[in-house]
Amino acid sequence: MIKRILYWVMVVAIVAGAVYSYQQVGFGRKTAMLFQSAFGSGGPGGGPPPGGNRGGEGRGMRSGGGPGDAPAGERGREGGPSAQGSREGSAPGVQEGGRAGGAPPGERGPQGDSAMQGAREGSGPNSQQGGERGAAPPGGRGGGPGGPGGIISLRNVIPYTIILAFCTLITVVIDRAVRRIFYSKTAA
Amino acid sequence: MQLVKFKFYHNFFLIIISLFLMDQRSLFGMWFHEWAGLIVCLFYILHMLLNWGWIKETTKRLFGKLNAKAKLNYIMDLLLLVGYTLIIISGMAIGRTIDFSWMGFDPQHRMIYRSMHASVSMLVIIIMGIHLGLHWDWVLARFKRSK
Repeated sequence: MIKRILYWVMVVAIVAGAVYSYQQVGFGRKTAMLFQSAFGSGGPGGGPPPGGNRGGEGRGMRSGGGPGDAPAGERGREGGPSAQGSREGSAPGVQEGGRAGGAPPGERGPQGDSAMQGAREGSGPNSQQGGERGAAPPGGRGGGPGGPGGIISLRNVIPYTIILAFCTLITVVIDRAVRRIFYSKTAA
Repeated sequence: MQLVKFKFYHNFFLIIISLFLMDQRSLFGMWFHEWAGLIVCLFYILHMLLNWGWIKETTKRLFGKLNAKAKLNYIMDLLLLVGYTLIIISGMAIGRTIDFSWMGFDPQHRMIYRSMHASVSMLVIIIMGIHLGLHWDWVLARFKRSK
């Protein structure tokens, strides 16, 4: 009985976690990018949202503060124009910004929040720096997400782990259901 | 028996490292993401070599008598192979700490490579989950045996 309850608690936790993680990592947006670039609707300039708030996403976080932060900021600043370009849907915009920061910034827009969170939590200088950048307006001016800033950060891995667990769970459930139906048919 | 044990730990390592590689900030930053991504390729090749017998047999019988699960498994494995290949190629094209300019990737298409890298890795994590789910009985059997 306890085993069964634990099983269902785990299932509910995985499903709820997967829904949350889906939004957290921008799963839909990232997969849509593939189709956009494949069918040319977005072009290299990228899809609509990337532009602005992806602008200066940060290397600050990756480098965890310190010397790595300077280049991060620079990239962010360059990202702006490209973002604008892509929003307007003009190829030149892409080229202008794409040079230095236009492309990379794209991925990490949402991280601005996490950076700000990091800053709010005030966990060390790294996160504070990131926070400052994250708070920058979404025009593409330097949004470097600070975040945890540590060498090993499990927090970034958790959403992917939950998504993996969710897909595994669904497959196992379907597999067992199919097997049960198949065996009951053959037995009959 | 030793080989089965090795396979189990090897697969476990692959899952863990793949999860860490999903986000370049999770382990030691970008340089680690790029180097580990390249090195992990070798582990994937080893994974294929360790299961070469199955690959060979299934390929032979793919259009013959083969149950649906094995066929699905084979298709998933193929998709994984294609996915990882795309991830590695696009990763090389957008690499920052390792210089792959000698490979002649067009910097104009950096954004395409970048979106490909991000989106294919998302699809690969789904396929990996399915792959794991299809082999769940094997995983459970290994756990039970180790107990």
